[in-house]
Amino acid sequence: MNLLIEKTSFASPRARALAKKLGIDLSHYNGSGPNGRIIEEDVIYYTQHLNSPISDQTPPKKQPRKITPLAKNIATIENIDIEKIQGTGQDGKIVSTDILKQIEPLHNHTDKKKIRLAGVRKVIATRMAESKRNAPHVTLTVKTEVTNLVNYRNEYMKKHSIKISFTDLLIKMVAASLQQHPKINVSLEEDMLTYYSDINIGVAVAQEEGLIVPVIHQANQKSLEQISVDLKDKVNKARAGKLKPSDMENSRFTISNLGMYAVDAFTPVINQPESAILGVGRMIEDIIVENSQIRIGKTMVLSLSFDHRVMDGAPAAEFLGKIKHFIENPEEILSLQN
Amino acid sequence: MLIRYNKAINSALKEEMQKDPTVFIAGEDVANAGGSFGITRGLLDEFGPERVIDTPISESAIVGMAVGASSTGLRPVIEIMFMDFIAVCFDPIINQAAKMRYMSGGQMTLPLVIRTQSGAGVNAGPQHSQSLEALLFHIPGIKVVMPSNPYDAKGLLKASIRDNNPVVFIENKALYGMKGEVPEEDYTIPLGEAKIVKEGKDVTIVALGQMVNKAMAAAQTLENNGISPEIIDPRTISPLDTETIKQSVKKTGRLIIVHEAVKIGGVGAEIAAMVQEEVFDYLDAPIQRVAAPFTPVPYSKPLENYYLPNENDIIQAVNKICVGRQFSIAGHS
Repeated sequence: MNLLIEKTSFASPRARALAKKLGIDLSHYNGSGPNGRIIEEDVIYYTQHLNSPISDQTPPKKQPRKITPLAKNIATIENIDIEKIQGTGQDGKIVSTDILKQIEPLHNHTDKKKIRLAGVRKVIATRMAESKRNAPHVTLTVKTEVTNLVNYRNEYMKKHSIKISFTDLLIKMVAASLQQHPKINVSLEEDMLTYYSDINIGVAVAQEEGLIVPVIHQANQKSLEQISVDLKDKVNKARAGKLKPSDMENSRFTISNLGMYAVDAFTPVINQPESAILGVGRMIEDIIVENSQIRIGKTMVLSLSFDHRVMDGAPAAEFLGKIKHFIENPEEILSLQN
Repeated sequence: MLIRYNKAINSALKEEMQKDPTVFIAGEDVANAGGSFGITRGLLDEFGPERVIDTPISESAIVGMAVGASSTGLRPVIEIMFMDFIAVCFDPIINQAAKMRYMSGGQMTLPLVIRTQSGAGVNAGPQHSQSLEALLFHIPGIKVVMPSNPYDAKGLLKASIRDNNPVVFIENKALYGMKGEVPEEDYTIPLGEAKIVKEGKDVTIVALGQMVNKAMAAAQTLENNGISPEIIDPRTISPLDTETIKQSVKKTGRLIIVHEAVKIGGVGAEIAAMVQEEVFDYLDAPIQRVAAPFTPVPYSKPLENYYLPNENDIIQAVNKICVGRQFSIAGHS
């Protein structure tokens, strides 16, 4: 291996055959042939002109190595001996990539694994990049008190002897908010705005291979129980890889809940062609100041990203305010259901 | 006597027909019209329609007829008007003509000559300009001849007609007008013997067909620059005179092969491989090939000119490998 790396001079077969016959070591000489190759004439020259032990003699003229200015700078900074490098440029000129190749093994000892983008990951990559590229995102955040919501949920579960999740509740509240703010339930494709009357809420579900978004269709017309059953069913299907395309179609608005992680707020990327997405942070115990009084309660932060091409900050802020209102006053929409 | 290449071919045919009554000619337009390049002019009058035969336009039938005729003892000299058309008679050439002597254990002779015209430069388009010698060169059992001048053309054609094996005799269209000294008396040139066209000491240039003349033109410039090329014309590529090539490479240490055919899979590839296999230790520089780019022959005149290898391409190849302290360009020390 070492021999291969350190080989800096090349001799033609003819020169090597003659050198072997004369018992000469060619490794210290420069060639005058193409690309600096040692040719027969060089061997003849050395034997005729250099009588004392050949290896004591310095070569007659050491040709400066051809090297690009960039390559030379890198070599100087990295302290690389250019004499040991075989140039890959024109006429053996050393170019920057030749130097970088020498540096790479010095700087990078870690093993890496490369996997070509495929499947769900590839779809996500394409869609996320497109969304960020095409839609100017604005993210609004607001702290919301959830003390009432937590209590309400506990009572509700006790009363009905069922288990519902915060996500189920959020779907219900977002659906109710969307119904009152139809300008958010809109999509932009090419230069055409489409306003929808159906309220379908997508829920981002994390999976090993990547996010998928099952959809609760007509969420505004469903009871909390129905939403809960529907979502559980779809999440189970998703984890088993049995989600049908129809279970993921026609989403109008997405909820991305990172509440189970140590995340307060974030800037979610809109799931196009939707126009907005709600990011949900964790619930924490918090100090709440109200009417000049301090009390302890629970809060979480909502992050609403919206597409500024489609709507402006004011309607988005109103919409976010509506969600906040429902979360803080859950009985307003859930009281109807006994 | 100074005659043109086409006349040299004509007189070879005429003399062999006078000498041997079993020799006859067949091909498209070879009788009444005297050949599309005028090669067979006058032969119909002298030898009559039984020995100078116009055939239908079916190259496969022409070769098939010749295989049959030669296996019964006649010596057909048939013409495939353009070498490109040889593609339609591969079965009779490759599977019949090339195999019969071998399969009969030498009991059968097959004295058959296929004369054909190759080469670009006359604005004849992709289907009438090819140099396909490599396709035939690859087949054991046929000889392939590529004369580069009137003297060789006459001597090689006579030897081909007298040979008991199938011979493909390739005449480059661009050479028909070339003048050269040809003796009055009868002579032949043995198949499989290369000619050292010009002696030199620095680089061996093996050139095929009309490229021999381009190499000679390049040699003048090179000599003026202090580089002495040795130019070899193999004359026959199958059988190939490898000995002459090897001896020359042993002397010069450098080899350039020039042919008009495309470079990929060409005769040059075989010669280069043979030389590195057999005289590797004599090589002082990488072997170079000067040949056409890997594309059909363009019809457009400027493109066709670009396509054809020329003197400058040869000079460039020489300058690429004739680098070193012994060459004046590098300066003596």
